[in-house]
Amino acid sequence: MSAPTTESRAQFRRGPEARRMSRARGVRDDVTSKVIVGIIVLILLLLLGLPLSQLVTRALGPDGREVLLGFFTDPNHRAVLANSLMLGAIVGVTGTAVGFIVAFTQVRVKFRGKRALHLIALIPIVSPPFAVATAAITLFGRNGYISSNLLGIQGDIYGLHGLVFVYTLSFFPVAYMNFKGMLENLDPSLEEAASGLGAGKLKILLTVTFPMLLPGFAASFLVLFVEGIADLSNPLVLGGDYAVLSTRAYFAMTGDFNIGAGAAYSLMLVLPALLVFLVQRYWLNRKKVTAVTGKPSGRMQAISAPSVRIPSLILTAGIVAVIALVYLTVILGGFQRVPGVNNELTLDHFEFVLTGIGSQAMRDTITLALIAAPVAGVLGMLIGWLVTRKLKRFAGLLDFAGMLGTAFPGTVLGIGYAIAFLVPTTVLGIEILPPLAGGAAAFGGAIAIVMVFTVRSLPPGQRTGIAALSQIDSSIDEASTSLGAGSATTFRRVTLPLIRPAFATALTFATARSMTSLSPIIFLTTPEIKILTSQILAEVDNGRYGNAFAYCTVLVIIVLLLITLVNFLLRKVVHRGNQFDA
Amino acid sequence: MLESTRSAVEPVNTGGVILRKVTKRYGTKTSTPAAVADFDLDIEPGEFITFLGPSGCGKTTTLRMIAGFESISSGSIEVDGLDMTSVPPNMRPMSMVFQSYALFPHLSVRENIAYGLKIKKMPAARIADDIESILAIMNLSGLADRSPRELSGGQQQRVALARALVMRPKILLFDEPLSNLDAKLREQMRLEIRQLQRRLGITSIFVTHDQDEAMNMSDRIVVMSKGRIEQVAEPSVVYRHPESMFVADFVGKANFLDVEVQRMHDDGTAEVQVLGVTVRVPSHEDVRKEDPVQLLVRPESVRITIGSPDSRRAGVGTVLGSVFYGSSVEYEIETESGNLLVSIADPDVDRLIPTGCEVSIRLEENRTWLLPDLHA
Repeated sequence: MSAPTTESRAQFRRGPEARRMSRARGVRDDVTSKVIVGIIVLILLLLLGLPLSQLVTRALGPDGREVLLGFFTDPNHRAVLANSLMLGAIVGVTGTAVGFIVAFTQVRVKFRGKRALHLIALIPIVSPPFAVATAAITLFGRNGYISSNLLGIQGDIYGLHGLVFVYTLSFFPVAYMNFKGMLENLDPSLEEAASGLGAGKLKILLTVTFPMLLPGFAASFLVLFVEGIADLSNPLVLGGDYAVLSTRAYFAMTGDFNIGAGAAYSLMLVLPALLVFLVQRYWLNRKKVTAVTGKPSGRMQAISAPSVRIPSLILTAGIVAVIALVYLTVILGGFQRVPGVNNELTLDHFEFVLTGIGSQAMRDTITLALIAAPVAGVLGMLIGWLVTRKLKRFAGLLDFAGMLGTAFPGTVLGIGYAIAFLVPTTVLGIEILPPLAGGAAAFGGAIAIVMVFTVRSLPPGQRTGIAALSQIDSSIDEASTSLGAGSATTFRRVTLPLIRPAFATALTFATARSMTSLSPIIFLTTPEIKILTSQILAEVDNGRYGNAFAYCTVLVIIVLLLITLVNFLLRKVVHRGNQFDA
Repeated sequence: MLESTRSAVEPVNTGGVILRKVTKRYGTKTSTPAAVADFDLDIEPGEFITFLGPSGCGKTTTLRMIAGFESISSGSIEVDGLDMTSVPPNMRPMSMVFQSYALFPHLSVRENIAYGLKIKKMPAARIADDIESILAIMNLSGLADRSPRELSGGQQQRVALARALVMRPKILLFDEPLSNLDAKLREQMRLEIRQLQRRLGITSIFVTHDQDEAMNMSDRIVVMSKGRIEQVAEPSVVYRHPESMFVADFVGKANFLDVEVQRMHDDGTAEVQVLGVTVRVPSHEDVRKEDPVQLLVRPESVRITIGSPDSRRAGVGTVLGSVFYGSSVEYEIETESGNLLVSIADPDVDRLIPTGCEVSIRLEENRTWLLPDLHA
């Protein structure tokens, strides 16, 4: 044992002031975290708590109560509810099926052109609402290319079947991404084991692979179910006589100016959405972890057995053909005088979009989305950091609160915002905020729109933040602490640089999502602020499909450019970081 | 070279640690078993101490409480007379070396080492000097501008150690830092860390579940089990005179033979009946004549020869099987006092004892140890 030296003892004696200093700093560090938590709670209360509590209050008011009671007594109301649930359930099944087929083909079946298939499958995610619906009308409607010109029949696309078709095509990419991730992460040794026991490819799929994916099927169904009942834009265009909750809410708000009724219809939308959110969060997520081992032990072998390969490829090719048809219609339609009726080529629509009202809408939309994205990003990152690193008991609660932006349908958020922010916000009779929404508010109501964009973009940022942070071993943070850094320094100098790339990606998609969303902001747009999606709605409403198609094309191009730009910048950063790897 | 070497880590900074009734309880209920209970220990300045125990014994929790990463439920931790309980981890005069090395992946080797110095707001020129000298000490000089992922495991380990040392901590904390290295490298790093620690005289607390590591490196070993200290002693004492059957079993290979105490002597020895013969063995102070006891016999403290007992002090047994290790061979032998594992060093490979053979067994009595059998 090395004996203690007198010098070393003496060294240690410079004690008390060091101790006082360290106490003070420690307290400050603790306070920093607490202040951040406080600020975030306040922001979430403003962004989510206030609009939703106002919504509930109005829904339970006299007008709202009438509607709510109607769901028990009035067959018309019940029919609307049943319509929504039916639509959600059917889309849940069809979207999941299509998503699975494409994902399975993509991951497991041997063929050339996987990258192309992936891109095609993702197009509906970045495309604005109406693109598919309007194209469907142009193709299969009364004077549709296919129904009328090719088949010579008068098509009827309006109603449940049209909605199912459009939704399936619009929402299946969600299921596709979900299954793609699961299939890629399945442990191949399980299938190898089954094969070693003498099972053929088809048998393995039916008895080993599919059962392991069951939680994925359930999750996809639930997500698509909610998308199906929550969406507003497609039923507005394609619903016809098929009334659903979201359109009822919209007409109550904008047609009858009956805010209570609008709030009540929205509340009925919230309930199933919230239920599904809870089921997913507390039941399915847990199951998924046990079904899929996070660490693949090898590469899954691509299947070339014809019994599996041929049906998969035929089905996938069919789906790809429909997507291609729809989006070709969109692109081509932008150049046609009256798509489907007068197919003379023209540049008028693009001129309208690029130089007329459209150019202002583009500017406004991009500006607001770009303001919201970093706000949502920082907020999401901070929540992720608090949840994974700082909070213990309340971590789950904060995470839950942050995720509510996607749990609530856009229609609900939009109506909640309209109710809460068209008037000044008061606390105990004292006005603390002026009206934030509506033409009379500052910046023509742009603040409320930015807030809605933020709330909608927060969850993907938060999810990515949490995922990225969970991948960083907590010992990295502790090493920084051990070297003398406080929480804030550690976050700035270690955590932030490490999660930046994942984060930028999440933000890009959040921005894209903001730019292509309609339901929350349709209740908040004002004559001063033009938003692309609501302009598209106006064009579709007036039957000017050509303009709508031109808008859609331009919007898709903007989104793709944005994604490409971010990818390019990220690759540069990553490349610089890896320069020694070569 | 030596001059610059000196500047990085000297004047030597070192300190003693006193842990008093340190307890860690997860959850608020007093009924939940404590992860660490009433941990009492005085660590001298400059001492190399190892926390050894199976996973879940509380050794890492204790280390993390000393570092400040875990709060303590009760008790106190002092470093040279200063109570550390309310001092946040980043203000404690210690540096930790992590099992995963925890190198910052976005920083180069140099930036990793400079990280803590920059936070201390040390002038850039001094930071550069300190880094150069610590790189020299750790044999990392050519690698300063590499990224951590371009280093081998051993080099990463050295960077982690350099990053901790350059802070001139009073205490170095090691959380199983060698468990990710392959066996050869592990032995080499053991030696390097130990030499460096001796040279610098920094108090070091080392957590491991590897008993060889604990034996090789420590001034004293703290053997832990289920959140409690089983024994604190020098490696030789822990090996030869363990406090309990748990310690005996955890540290090294151990045979426990059923014996009968015939007489206790005042000099701490006892006469026992084992393998059919009577021998006099050193005994734990808690052994009572009437209580159940077990005799600890290390596999290398036994001599065997083929054939019947060759003296009055030799017992008899039958070979059940053998395992060949190269430098040694281990026989499992059935005896009337229980099965006995015997290790023979440097065996003659042409003359291994076949299974089923009767052998004469002689214990090295002075190297056995009589323990109370608390399980009986």
